[in-house]
Amino acid sequence: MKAFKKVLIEAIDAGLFMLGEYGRDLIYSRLKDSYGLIKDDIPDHIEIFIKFIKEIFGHGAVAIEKEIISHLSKKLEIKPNEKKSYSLIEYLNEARKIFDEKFKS
Amino acid sequence: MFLFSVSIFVIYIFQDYYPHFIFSIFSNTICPVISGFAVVTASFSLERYWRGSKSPFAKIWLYLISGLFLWFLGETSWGVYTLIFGVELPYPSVADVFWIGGYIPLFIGYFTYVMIFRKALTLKMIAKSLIISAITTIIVIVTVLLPILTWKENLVTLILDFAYPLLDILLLSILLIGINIFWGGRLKIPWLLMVSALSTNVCADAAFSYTTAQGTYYPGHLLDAFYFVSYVLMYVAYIVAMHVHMKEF
Repeated sequence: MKAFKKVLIEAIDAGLFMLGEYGRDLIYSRLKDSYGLIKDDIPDHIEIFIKFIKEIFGHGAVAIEKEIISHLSKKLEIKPNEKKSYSLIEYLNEARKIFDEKFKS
Repeated sequence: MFLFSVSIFVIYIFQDYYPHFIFSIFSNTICPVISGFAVVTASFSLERYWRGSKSPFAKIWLYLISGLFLWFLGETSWGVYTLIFGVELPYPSVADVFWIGGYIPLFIGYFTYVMIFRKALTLKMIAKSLIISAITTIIVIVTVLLPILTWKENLVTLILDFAYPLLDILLLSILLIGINIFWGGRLKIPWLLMVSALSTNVCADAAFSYTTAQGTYYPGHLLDAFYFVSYVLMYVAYIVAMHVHMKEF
C-alpha cells in the first residue's frame, strides 16, 4: 500500500506540473494553509485535494484530475478503460484493486 | 460595478453642462490611464511567474501584457491626436495599428490559457461558445455592418469598421470557453469580468463603426462611456486575476 501511495504522490506532483513549478508549489502551500494537508498526506485525503482544486479551477479541475490519472496510469502500467470517463476517485478505486492483485501475485 | 457603470453613463448624458471636462478628461485622458494601469497590474503577475520561467503562465502573462500595452499605445495615440494635434476624429490613424495589433497577443494569451485546461473541455462548452458568438456575429453584421456597406467610406475605414467588432467577437468566443471551464471556481470571477468587458467592447466598437460611418460620432459621444466601462471592467479583471494567481496557484 505504501508503494501505491508513493506512486500516487509522484503522479499528483507530475499532474500539477501543468501549472508550472511555481503554480504547483503554491497549490501545496495553500492546501497546507487552508486544510492543514501536506503533500505526502494527499493520497489519504484525496477528496479534500479534489475539493480544493475545484474551489479554484471549477470545472477546470477535471483537467488536473485527468493529468494525474494519465501520469498514474503510466507509472502503474494500468490503462484506464477507454470507454469510461473516470473521475480521479473512481480511477483510484479501480487502480488500487488492480495494483493489489498484481502485488499479491 | 453596476452602479459605477450607471454613474458613468449619467456623467455622459449630462455632458452639456461640462463639455470640456468630458472631451479632455473622460474621452481622451482616462482611457489611456486605465489601460496603463491594467498593463502595470498584469506586469506584477508576469514578474511573479517569470521567476519560475518554466511556468506556462509566464508566457500567457507576457502575451496578455503585450496586447494590453498595444491597446494602451492605441489609447495614448488617440489622446495625442485629439488633445495635442487637435485632430477631431483620428480614424483611421496610427492608433488603429496598435489597437488591431493588440488583438493578436491577447487572443494567443487567452487561447494558450484555455489550452492548458483542454482536458476539461467538452463539446457542449465549445458548442455553447460557438452558438453565442455566431448569434452575436449575425446581429452585429445585420444591424450594424451591412448598413455601413451602403454608405460611402474609403476601403481602409470600411475594413476597420468590420475588423473591430468581429475581432472583439473572436476574442469573446475564447473567453466564453474559458468561463465555462472555470465556472464554479474562484477563477471564474476574472473570466466573467473579461467576458463583460469584451461584451461591452463589442457594443462600443459596433456603435463606433456605425456612428463614424454615419458621421454622427464626436469625441465625448455617449458611446465613449461603453469604452470607459469596458476598460474599467478589464482593469478590475486583471486585478482579480492577479490576486487569484498570486494567492492560489
